[in-house]
Amino acid sequence: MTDNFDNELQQRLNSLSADTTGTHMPGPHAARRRAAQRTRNQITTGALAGIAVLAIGVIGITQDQMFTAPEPAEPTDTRTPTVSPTTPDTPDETDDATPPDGDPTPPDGGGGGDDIPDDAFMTVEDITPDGEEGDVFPEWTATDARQTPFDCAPVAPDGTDYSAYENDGDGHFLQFIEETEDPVARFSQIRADLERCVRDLEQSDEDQYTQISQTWNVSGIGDEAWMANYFDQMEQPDDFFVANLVSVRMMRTGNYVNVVIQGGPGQDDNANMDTEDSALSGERLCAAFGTECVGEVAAEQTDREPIGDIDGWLRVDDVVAATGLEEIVEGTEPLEANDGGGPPGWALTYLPLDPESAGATFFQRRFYQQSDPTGAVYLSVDQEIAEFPDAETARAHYEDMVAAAESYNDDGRNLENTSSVDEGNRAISTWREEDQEFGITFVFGIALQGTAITVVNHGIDSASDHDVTADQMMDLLTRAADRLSEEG
Amino acid sequence: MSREDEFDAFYNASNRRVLHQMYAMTGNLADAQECTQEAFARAWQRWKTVSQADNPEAWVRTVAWRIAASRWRKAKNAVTAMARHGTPENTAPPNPDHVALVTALRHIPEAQRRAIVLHHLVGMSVEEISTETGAPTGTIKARLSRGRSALAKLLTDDTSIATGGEQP
Repeated sequence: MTDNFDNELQQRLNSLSADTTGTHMPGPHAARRRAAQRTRNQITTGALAGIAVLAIGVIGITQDQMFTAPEPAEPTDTRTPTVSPTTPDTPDETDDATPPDGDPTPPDGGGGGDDIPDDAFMTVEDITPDGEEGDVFPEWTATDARQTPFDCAPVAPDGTDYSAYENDGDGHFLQFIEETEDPVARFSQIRADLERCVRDLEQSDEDQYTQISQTWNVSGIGDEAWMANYFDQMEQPDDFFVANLVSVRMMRTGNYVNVVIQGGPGQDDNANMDTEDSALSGERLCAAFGTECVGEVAAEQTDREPIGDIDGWLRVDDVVAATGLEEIVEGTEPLEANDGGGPPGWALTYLPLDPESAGATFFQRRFYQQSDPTGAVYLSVDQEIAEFPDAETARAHYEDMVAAAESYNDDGRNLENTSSVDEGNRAISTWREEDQEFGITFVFGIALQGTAITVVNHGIDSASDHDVTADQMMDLLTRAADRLSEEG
Repeated sequence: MSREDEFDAFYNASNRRVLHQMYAMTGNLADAQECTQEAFARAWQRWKTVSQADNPEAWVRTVAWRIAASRWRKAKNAVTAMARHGTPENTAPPNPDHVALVTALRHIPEAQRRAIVLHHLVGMSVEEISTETGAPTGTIKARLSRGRSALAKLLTDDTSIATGGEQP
């Protein structure tokens, strides 16, 4: 695309300012009044109105770093005086820091739940992200509350040592370490109570937003570890922010159950939870008692069943084998391609043709992607399938698509046909489109198999160190056609 | 200069720009106005923090965008919500060229729209957009490339076209 369109687009976007000149902005006093009114309401009700937005994109912090402070405040002395770390009854340190298995060796901090060393608790520094110079984060202050304001979040039992903070972004942090005669049962009880409570609210007609977001079993930390994120509907949501995002991390080692809760206003939870804070919490607890209980940490998500391979669609192994993109590990649930979210048609080919307008009775889209879509380089292979009433209609639509691709000329940016085969019942063509200005290349292919057409697309960032060749795309489309053929 | 004076000066200097950008991003003047004002209110609530940020205007713009996005996603099922309420009513002015542009913007996915506005209106680089939106640079490149091509088509003819490779 040439600079002409860029210039025109810029000018037209700039010209929109004319529309805003007649729009009255209430002014800074009104903004301050709105903020002040909300603050008064919060003080009056003691409720968590939805006021905080953390500009994650601006200051470049991750989701797990949301509720943090730059200037650590000393925790309130809610715990009993620190006791000196003691030697465990049975030393269980291992050279490779593998967590003990079999009979757990408890850190011997004494009994009664009132003698956990201060060092066993996470500090404000621990939960403060490693921001860049000039970054400013919400300010933590210590509090003596044994519980957070979040529905369903575990509460520090009486007599249990704990540490708590809150910040001026409505973030809350609570950690308690409980000694118990039956740590297995206690751990399970806390986790089950939390899940049951949230699930009950999920079913509630009055609560639209409280729901589990993600749950994980974590191995390599203590004897057992688990973590979850959930949304908690605010008691008094404002017009925009309706929920807190709450993280709960639990681990047990020996006779101790360690629970860390952190949350605050949040609308999105798109990234997978990381295990960093869970591991750090475990390290601190065990180190305080002179032991080690964190080894090779791994997490397995438990709140969603793997979708797996689906008949008729590419298998994940097909995608990896054809493209070499080993990072791609899962396929999403197929979605209706014409979902009303954009113009109808073959979104992946970028061609102005809608199979449903041409008679298709089935038109869906599926994505094959990394386990964590927030990686530095996002890799995805996308597939669309349309099913037609008969082979003639499918063939005609396929030929329309090829003709549209051949004539595609987007202000100088052409599609290059990189390979084609036509064997009667099966026809495949692959294409490559390069956008040099933005350094992005799209490779895609169209396959006709009997009464079905499938499109497979992949975007290649020039900053990445991979490419997908025409031969690889032909291999991928052949596999896609094979899957359609198997489906019959 | 008092905190109030600082904030007022910041508001007066930047509110029209943010309003303009939010208008392009939302395609609706009323939404843009409300999200912008709300973002400034939140900026005042944490002015100590925002005033020390590298770019307070970017903070407000990001917050305003998140407010707009959260409004679209308030219901648990966004698709259901959209089906029930439809897209926000367009209060665009009668200028045909502006109506065409706003309509075209609203026909591309919101992530592409945001990238287009940040790049072509705000003048940000791919890397800067990546930082502000939290998306990898490759994703931003794809959004800009696909979004711009879609806009080119939408602005030159009325043919509905696909918008390309963006996961909903």
